[in-house]
Amino acid sequence: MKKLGILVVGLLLLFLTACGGGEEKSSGEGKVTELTVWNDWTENRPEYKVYKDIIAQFNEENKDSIHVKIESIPHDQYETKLRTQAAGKQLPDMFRVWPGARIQPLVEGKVLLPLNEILDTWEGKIPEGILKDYAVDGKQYAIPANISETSLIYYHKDAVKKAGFEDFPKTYDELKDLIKALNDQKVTPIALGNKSIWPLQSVYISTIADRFTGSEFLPNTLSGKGSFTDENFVKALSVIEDLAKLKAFNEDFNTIDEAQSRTIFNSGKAAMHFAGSWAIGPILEGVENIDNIGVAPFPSFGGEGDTAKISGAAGGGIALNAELSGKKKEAALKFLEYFYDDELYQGLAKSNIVVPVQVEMDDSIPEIYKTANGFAQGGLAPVYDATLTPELTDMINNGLQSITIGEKTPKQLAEEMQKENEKGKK
Amino acid sequence: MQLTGKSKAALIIGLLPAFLIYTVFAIYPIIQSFYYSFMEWDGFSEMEFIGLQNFENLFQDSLFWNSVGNNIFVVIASVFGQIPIALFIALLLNRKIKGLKIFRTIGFLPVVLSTVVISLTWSLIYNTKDGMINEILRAVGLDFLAQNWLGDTKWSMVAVCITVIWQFVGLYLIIFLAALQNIPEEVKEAAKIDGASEWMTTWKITIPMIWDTIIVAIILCISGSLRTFDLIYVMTHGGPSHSTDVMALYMFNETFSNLKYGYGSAISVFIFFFSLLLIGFVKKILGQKFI
Amino acid sequence: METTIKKTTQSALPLHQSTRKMSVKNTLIYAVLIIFSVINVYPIIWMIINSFKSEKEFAVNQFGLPKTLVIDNYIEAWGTANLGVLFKNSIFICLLATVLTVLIGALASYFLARIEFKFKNALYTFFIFGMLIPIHATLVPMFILLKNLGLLNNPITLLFPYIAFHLPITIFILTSFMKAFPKDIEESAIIDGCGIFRIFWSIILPMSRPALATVIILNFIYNWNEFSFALVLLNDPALQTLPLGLASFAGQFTVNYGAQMAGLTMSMIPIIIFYLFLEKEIVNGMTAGAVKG
Repeated sequence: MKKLGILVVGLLLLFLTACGGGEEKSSGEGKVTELTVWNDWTENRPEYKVYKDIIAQFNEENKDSIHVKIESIPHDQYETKLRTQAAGKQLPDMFRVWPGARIQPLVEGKVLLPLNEILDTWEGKIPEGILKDYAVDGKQYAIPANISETSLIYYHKDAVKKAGFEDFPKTYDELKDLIKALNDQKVTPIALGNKSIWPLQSVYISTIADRFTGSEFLPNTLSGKGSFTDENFVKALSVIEDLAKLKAFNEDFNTIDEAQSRTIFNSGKAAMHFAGSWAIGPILEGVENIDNIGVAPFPSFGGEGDTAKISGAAGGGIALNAELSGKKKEAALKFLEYFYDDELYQGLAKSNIVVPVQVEMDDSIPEIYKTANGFAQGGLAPVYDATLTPELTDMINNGLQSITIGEKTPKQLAEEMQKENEKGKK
Repeated sequence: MQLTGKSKAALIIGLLPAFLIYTVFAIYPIIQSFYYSFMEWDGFSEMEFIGLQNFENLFQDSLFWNSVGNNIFVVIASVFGQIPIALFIALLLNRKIKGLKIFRTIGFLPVVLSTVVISLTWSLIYNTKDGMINEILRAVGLDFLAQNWLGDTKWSMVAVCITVIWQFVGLYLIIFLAALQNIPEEVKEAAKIDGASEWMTTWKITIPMIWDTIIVAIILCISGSLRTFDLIYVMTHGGPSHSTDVMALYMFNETFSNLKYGYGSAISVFIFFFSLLLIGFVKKILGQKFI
Repeated sequence: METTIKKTTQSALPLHQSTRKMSVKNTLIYAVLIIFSVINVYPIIWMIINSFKSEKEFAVNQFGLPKTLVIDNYIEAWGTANLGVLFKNSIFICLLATVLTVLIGALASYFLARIEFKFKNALYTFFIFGMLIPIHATLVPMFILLKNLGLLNNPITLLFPYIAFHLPITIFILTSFMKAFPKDIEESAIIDGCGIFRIFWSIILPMSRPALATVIILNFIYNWNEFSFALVLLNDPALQTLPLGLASFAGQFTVNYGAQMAGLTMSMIPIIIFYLFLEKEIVNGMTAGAVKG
């Protein structure tokens, strides 16, 4: 015990002196304005490197006047931290935000700075339809770096061919036939990881419901002009029930997460994988033969929606703290103009991220990226969790999971959602 | 020991540091949280006083009561799983047989292990398709017993509880081992000379002598289980279909995902008083003087 | 040393009387313990094995041994998460918090367990309340409190919540242990003219070794793995602790399992060493004291 005591005290002294010696160089060296930017770029991924490199370059070019400090927080904990600091009125100067319903509370809490004064920079460059994802009541709060298409079907070409399909199914009935054929061959039709409960909603329902109800349904319903008990919406929810009954998914789909399901698909154990454009990079990195991978839009379901559309939303936006003023505000705006520029979009495209501007595509760009990029041209349907209130998102996420295990019917979920929706209106 | 007048000062010196830091950094924040429970607050906008509205909603919230039920399940499983197993292993390890040292160390390892690893490996063991449990059941011809352990609402809670039990046996194991050292050799020797069997010695002498520690362990176990969060958060997120939701997890989601700080605080008030009640009750049954 | 000699002679005695019966029993005990150990060790072995697999191999082969040993995971884990700095911070904060908690806690426990004074039971109960507080409910209030005190983003920020929240369990375990000592221990010391703190330091503390070792281990583990406070109370990457770094391998849509396992394996080494150091205190400590006393 005594020996241990001495050891502990010794170590502590060592650290204390080490820490004392390493005092940080004071940041306020007169003229340099320091800005902190929060993000979730903790992993070693090519797109994050693009972000960080551009910031480093910006710092280098402005080394006498501005320094942008990067603070990365693991994604799953990002919002917990952001919300705690917001509650304590200690938000950083700049921070990554997600579009639509997810910036709504920040705007209502008046913690974001509108960017309208520099909006001309991107006029005509980024389509209006994408920009508006980061706008509330006509005020712009962030600039998109990328487009997140949430509903794409990735498939192994050979597996689909072997199941008797020369082309990928165009209608829901054909898709069901494909699923049955794959099951007969003892191949898992679709790799799904729904433990974290958002994939069935964000990836599946966002587009499926749009095919049944059309894109006006969701905003209308939320503003009280429609109802979730609408027959078409219930039909969309029933598709999930159908797929589960058809045994379209890997058996353990409710106990693995989204990233794990991708490894099932990559290893070839499953023929298809429904995921967003975020999966392009990881799939290209993970599969043996890139040329064997195809990407298709969701099939038509015979509803009222436009079949050229897939769901998607803007992403990668960085918002500014409403408290910024004077020199700091100027510096932050300058940074945004520098950051959201051609170099960023080029770099992201090279990292297989779908971007909101036209970029040159040479032969080095993989086929599935080009195809997926093309889908964005048909217009984007709203993504459910970017549009619904947090309570409704929670409800539909859990509800869809319940549907897959027969704990709830589509109709029950629809009624439950409508009840919550009306409660919110009061 | 009685204090003489002079040592009153010693009393203050001895207790003040603990009292101060504990009151300021543990009690004050939770009282603050109690205060939020009377508010409607999304964390961004201004707070609004709504009286007991949060509690009224809480008592009508079936998802919340579902999490309370699940949590009681965890408490029961932990108390009746962790404590007996830990005590049994501790008694086995507390003898003078060669080579027991390594088992002692190994017994403690799960406590040290990251919940991420525990969650990943146990999920693989429980996996419905190629998990170890189902493979073994199939290999011995008991196919009908194979289940989707974590994916079936009937079994998910059982599966999670087994992992929770496994995770913390080591903790009570070392607490019991420490207590067993407190029993003087002479007592055991005397019993042996009187011709008592080992079973009798254990039952009549060892267990009563560490009974206080067993109560301590039970109370630790209950208070820990009522706040259980980490493993379930990583392993199932409370799913499928809320079947493994527990109170702390529900509170966390309401607060940080649904942005209902006031409501989340109301849940934490409930957790606190519910724990107090349960521990008071257990204490009464087990008959210890003060907590 | 003398105790070990004594022990071996003791166990030799009954062995003579019924050797066969004993050996059957011992075999049974070994069998139970071996099964118990296999279940305990499996996840760790799994973690270590997979820390040597490449991403592609992990995808197809999660159970078997790696075909080729890949140490890239370790290099990547060390670099991506900046583990060097995090290790230093974690060791610093964990040791300091543990030492302070146990010191302050032991002192308070001594008074609560051995000395009569007014409101003693009330004070004890007050401390135990802390074991019932759900940590996540205090994140926002704790953040605001430390902000107002100007203690955010400081190398010692985490000390405050760590000490405050682990005092209850420390006091709970130590008090229950100290209460079990015979009543006359201090009396003879007082006759010898020892002051209260002298008794605490030279008699009670040494006698409490197994319990002290237990709470030291518990405190260290809790602090080592603590995530939530570290997440919300520190911003500066130079101040962060290990758990945060280990979470950085999981992104929104991807998880780098190999690097994660490598990082987790490395982070487990100090804590196992720490445990091994203290384990023998738990098991040997008291016997020696009791025999002499």
